[in-house]
Amino acid sequence: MSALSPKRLLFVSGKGGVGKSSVAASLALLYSQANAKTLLVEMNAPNHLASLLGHPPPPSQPALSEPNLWMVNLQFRSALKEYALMVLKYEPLYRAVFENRWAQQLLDFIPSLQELVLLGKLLFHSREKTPNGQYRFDKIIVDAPATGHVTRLLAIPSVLLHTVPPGTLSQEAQWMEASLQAPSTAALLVSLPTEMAVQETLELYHTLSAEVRVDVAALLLNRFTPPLLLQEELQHPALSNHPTLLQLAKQQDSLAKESYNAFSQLSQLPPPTFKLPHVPSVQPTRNTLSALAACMKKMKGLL
Amino acid sequence: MDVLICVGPGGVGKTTLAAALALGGANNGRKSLVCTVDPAKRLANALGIHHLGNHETPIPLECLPPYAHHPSPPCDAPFWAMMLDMKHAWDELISTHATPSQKNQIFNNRFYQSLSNALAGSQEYIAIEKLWELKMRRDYGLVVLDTPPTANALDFLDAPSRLLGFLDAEVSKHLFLPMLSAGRWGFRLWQNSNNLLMKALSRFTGVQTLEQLSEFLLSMGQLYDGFRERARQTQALLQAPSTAFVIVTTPHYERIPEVQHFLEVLHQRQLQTAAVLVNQIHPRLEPHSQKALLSLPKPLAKKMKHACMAYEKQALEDARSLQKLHTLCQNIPLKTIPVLDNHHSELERLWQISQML
Repeated sequence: MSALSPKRLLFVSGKGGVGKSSVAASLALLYSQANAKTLLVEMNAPNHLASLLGHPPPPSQPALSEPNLWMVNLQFRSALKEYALMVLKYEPLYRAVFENRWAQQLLDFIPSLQELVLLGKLLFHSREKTPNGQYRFDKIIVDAPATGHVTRLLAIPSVLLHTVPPGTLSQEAQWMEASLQAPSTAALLVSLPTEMAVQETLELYHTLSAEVRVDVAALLLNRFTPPLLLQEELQHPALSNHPTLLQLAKQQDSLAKESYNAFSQLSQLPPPTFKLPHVPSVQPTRNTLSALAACMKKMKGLL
Repeated sequence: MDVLICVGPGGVGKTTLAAALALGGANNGRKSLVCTVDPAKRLANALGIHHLGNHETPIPLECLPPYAHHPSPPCDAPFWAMMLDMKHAWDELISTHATPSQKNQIFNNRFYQSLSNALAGSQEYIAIEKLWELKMRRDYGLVVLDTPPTANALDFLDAPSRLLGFLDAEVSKHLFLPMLSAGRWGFRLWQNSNNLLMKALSRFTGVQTLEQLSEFLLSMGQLYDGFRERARQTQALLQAPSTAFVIVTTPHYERIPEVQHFLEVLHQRQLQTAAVLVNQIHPRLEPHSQKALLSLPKPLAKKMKHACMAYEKQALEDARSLQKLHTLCQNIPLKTIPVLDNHHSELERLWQISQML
């Protein structure tokens, strides 16, 4: 069985700047073009994904952007309102409470309310069903926050279970924790061939699987550089006459070595590791995302 | 003491450059400290040591050329590093402000136990607070603060006032005053009163949560005056003439609007921006290297041509970004740090970078 096929809810994460958003958007394109009803989620983000795919910024509710692809940008204030209305069931009451300055300050102080509300809305959509009993979305791809923040986000339910006494909040936390630890939920970690990025990926893997207990389905090593020259070519006298070329060749060589090291370190972890090729980091367009998607489609065992 | 605060988006090498700035300061004869608040323990990695605690640690520099033959005793070491441990730092902070009985009450409250995770911006507050303490109690010539990569990286500018907002006696007065007079169990009684606001809130959070939270806020509220004074001083530290911000970025296209935002916010708040550091630049290849390709034997030439083209594409993209950044920066100095090969140890790399800054 391939790594991602049994997963419905997928958190794409990794160190800042590794290409999470591009991977999340390409995956969403892949799934939606394969006729799966796909929801692509951004959290508290400046609508980066929508413009990348050439769509207007999505509203705070899932909106159909192209065939089979829905997008949503989860924002704290609007999600909080939605959640509060669900609990209070009466708009004037909502306004009396949530537009009160002091009550707002108090709410701000409840441990990680922001993350809880965002995660709650996300998980709500993952459980949404159509009138005929099928899930509204077949695949939910989350462009998740970077290392550190993603563990904090996903650990919220269990932190809350330890913090707040039994009551409304802890009930919420309970079902959310169960959804996150379900076998159909997983994280996809994107990494780069640098020592620090690999180190962070290893740490993130351990925190997610041991402490937060969210399954890590696969690792993607982005910007993988294969060796360019053979060792004897690198030492070719013709090359040593041109310092610039020699330096470039050496740089390529060390990138290739780093790529190799990163790959062997990551592949020691239980989930499978996949390589994505190095492309210069020019501003991605829909075309580059489609190219990335095509590349992922060809990977054996990923989708 | 001079203070440099490194801000910038995640993944641009902020921690490394912060360490390099401090190392540069050390090399100029000023005792320097780099202080990181990053949860991912990157600085310890960058410095080649694996455990940096909540205390200042001297970094041995013997492997660097200028220090090779002059080992200094640890107490006179020029270059120091530390990583803030949030829990520990909060305990310390409460201990300085609270009486022993208040302290116990606070430490035992469940809300306190998850405070460092819970309070938005608490990391940022602690970082600035620590800066202040370092300024008052230590003899560093330069302290470089590396900031956490938050979604909104400038959140910490508001951290002191936000914390005061939380502790503000007004909240307690408006929401919990009836409870104050009714004692600990007053809350439940009060539940039966007609206070719509509290009733609705407790429906949202659960009664017990609200009870414990109010207890916590009330005991923290007693520290308000002490905190207010300190927060005012830390805020003043950010605006002091000896404090400046350094914006760290890469030439990546996504970073440009972010840098613009940083510059605007810092300018609006009349905070000084010392420099913009652009990391991981690919300098253009020298023009004659294209000609040099012709002199290579065929298979080698083909491969190298391919490498040159890919590299030039990136270099051109970087140059375009740099131009945009130059326009944004106007009078603020902009420094570039080229992509470095990785043949060196992390410390040697820091050294190489510090020489460029």
